[in-house]
Amino acid sequence: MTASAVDEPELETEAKQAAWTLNFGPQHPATHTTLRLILDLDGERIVKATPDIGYLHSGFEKLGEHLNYNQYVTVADRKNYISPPMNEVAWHHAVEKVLGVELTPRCQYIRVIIGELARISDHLLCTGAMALDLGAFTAFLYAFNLREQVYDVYEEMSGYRFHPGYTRVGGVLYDFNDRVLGRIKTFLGNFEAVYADMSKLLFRNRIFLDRLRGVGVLSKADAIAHSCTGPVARASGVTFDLRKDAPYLAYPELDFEVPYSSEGDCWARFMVRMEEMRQSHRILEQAVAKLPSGPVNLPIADKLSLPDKLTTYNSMEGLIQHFELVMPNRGFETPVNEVYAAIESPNGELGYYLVADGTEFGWRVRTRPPSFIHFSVFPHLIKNYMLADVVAILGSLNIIAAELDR
Amino acid sequence: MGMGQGVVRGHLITLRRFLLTFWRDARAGNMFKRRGGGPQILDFFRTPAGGDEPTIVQDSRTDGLFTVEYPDERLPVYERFRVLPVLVYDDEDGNVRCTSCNICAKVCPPQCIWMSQAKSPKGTVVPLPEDFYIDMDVCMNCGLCAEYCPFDAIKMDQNFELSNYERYQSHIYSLQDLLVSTEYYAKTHPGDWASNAEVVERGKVAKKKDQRLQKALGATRPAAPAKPAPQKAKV
Amino acid sequence: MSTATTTAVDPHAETLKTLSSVFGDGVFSLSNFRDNLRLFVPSSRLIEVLTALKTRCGFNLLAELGGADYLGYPGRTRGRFEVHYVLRNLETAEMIVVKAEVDDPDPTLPSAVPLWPGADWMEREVFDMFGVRFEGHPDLRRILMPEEFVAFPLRKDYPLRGRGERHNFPRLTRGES
Repeated sequence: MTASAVDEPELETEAKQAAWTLNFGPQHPATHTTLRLILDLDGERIVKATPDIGYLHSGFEKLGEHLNYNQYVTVADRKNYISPPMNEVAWHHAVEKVLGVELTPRCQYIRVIIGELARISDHLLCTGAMALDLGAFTAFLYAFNLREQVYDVYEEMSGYRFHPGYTRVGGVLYDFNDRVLGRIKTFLGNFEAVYADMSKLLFRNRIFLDRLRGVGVLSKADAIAHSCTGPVARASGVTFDLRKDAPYLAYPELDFEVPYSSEGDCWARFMVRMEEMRQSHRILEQAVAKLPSGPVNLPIADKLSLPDKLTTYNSMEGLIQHFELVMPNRGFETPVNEVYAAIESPNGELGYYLVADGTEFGWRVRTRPPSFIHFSVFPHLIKNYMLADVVAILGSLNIIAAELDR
Repeated sequence: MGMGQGVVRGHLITLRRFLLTFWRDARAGNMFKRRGGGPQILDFFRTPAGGDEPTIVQDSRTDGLFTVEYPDERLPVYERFRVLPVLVYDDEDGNVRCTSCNICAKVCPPQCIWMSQAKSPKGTVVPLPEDFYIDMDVCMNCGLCAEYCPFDAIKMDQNFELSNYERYQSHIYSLQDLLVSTEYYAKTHPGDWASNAEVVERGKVAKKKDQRLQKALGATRPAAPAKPAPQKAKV
Repeated sequence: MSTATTTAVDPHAETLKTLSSVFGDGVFSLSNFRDNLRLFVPSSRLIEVLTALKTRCGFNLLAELGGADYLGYPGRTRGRFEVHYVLRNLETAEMIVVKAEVDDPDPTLPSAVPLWPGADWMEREVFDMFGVRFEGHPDLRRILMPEEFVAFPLRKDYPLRGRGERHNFPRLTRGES
């Protein structure tokens, strides 16, 4: 920025191109997380946006090389902290693919349930916070109140509200009990009313519509070229969904639809997220009804999951297996090979490229974070829109900085 | 609907609900009570002692949202709720269950546990911790230590009121800070305490202890390992 | 979990036929693990293979791009670094992993940004973390680490706790800022 640019109204067009440089973030209430944008402005129009990230880089991938497959779930939780169970499911999905194990039917359903709860919780925050940024505060409060009930489910099932750390290799930490299922049913019963409230508040809200319609348009070709996945791609007309196209866990047995839109603007992304919540609700109702009985964790013979305390204390196999898993130089036996496994997280494809070296530690734990890839599209989306559209587009992309920087 | 009528209507709805809450409380005889249940007028002269605060249930069945007046009232904690690890000792004989096997220290993802094994006067190792430290600033409450412990010794506590005025020394919990009695544990984790696994294990340990006692009584020279006398040092 | 699916129909048959008709033998080698089909490609032919996969076989989505350092990996015979490109065919949901090895001292690969603009940040991250240079990348800068950082933190010879870089950073005092 030149000092004289402010004083002299008459300027040549080239100088006018970037008359202002505005620093947006890293600490800004509308970024929600620590990320920085350097915006070149012409009046209120954005000529160029340069994202600057890395403020929250915490070396999660390096940590993955020093924590074993069960320990790393605590770090996986902390990536997308809006939907931690989905990260856990993704992480152990990759681990179990490397190990080549098939989960028990009950465990598959439990993982579907916690994943879909996480999806609803993530979309509630994303749509609610998007409304909050654009001035519609009430919808945000309704959404947040409902999210609280998802946290209740997390706490009842695992003991921790924010970072449950619930999945384990070949199983989960605790089985679902009646109290957990009761809480899930309560949540499912309350969902419709909150969804109706949110839709009444937002779907025909003139200000909200005007700020989203036709803003940040992403064409289908651009969405594919920029590697977009998830709701961002589906709002642009890509119908790809890993739950349908490369099914995993119990998804083939569940009936749901993949919403998409061909508009590609912020409104389409918002609506796709809203509709996905309803589909997740459908999945949850089926999954809770169909939840099979039987064991959750894999049997001791598979040498993967920690036996429960009763088995450990009272049977020789249990004790040996417990010993095998906790002693140094033991633990999991993995193939010396590598695998890429991905699941459909609320934000898009969440994959792990996991290189195993035979020990219980990963050799390389590469995360494919959807936020990182969606944020790289941001400079293209914001170009030639107004400064006020920054928060709308950021909100519609749902950038989570912990996942962005890892 | 004309301009502005919706706003007026919205305010009227709010006002109606506001007045209705008074009417409902008066009818139910809760005029001078908190929504949560605690008495209101008496509170000006008396504060409940620590631990005696009424527990307020506010779930989806509750009518509306109201303020839980923490710390005079508090929400119930869930049984699996976990904050920091604690070490359990048996109430009857003061026996610390931990054998300092180091499994928890090994499995801890941020490596916040460290311990040293007790030595008898002769120099042989005793299956007891001489000291046991947990850095509560580093601990991320994941519960892996409690999951992996093969002696039911380390458990996750539910005490979440951990703030204090000093940042360094008091945040490193030593053995004395960490010990809790089985009575305390049974109170916070009633389900786990009554679960089959723990009942069976307690029975087995009690039997073993009894045998050892009989043997020691029968022997001419009583074998008494040096046991630290744990204090009830839970805040 | 779709790990144990060994269907009679190879989902990759069509792709492999097209690829071998374009390149013949000797350009790439194959390996299969679980449901991942991996294509090992020399760096000189990388862009050719990726282009063929994109234009002829319909792999239009670059789902993931990342690197790995295999220094000291058990049984390792190939070069030190490997960069993987996970491609997806959005029509048939077929997935293929293309792997290009690259070795010290100056690991360099051709950039995939002309093919997929989405590779931009992912290549920058590989450069940032492993020091693999991508030739033809429009803006190859560090992305997560600060500009002044000299090491490549995800390399295997880089210790977990760093080499004290944090202490060597120039400090700004309040007066200077």
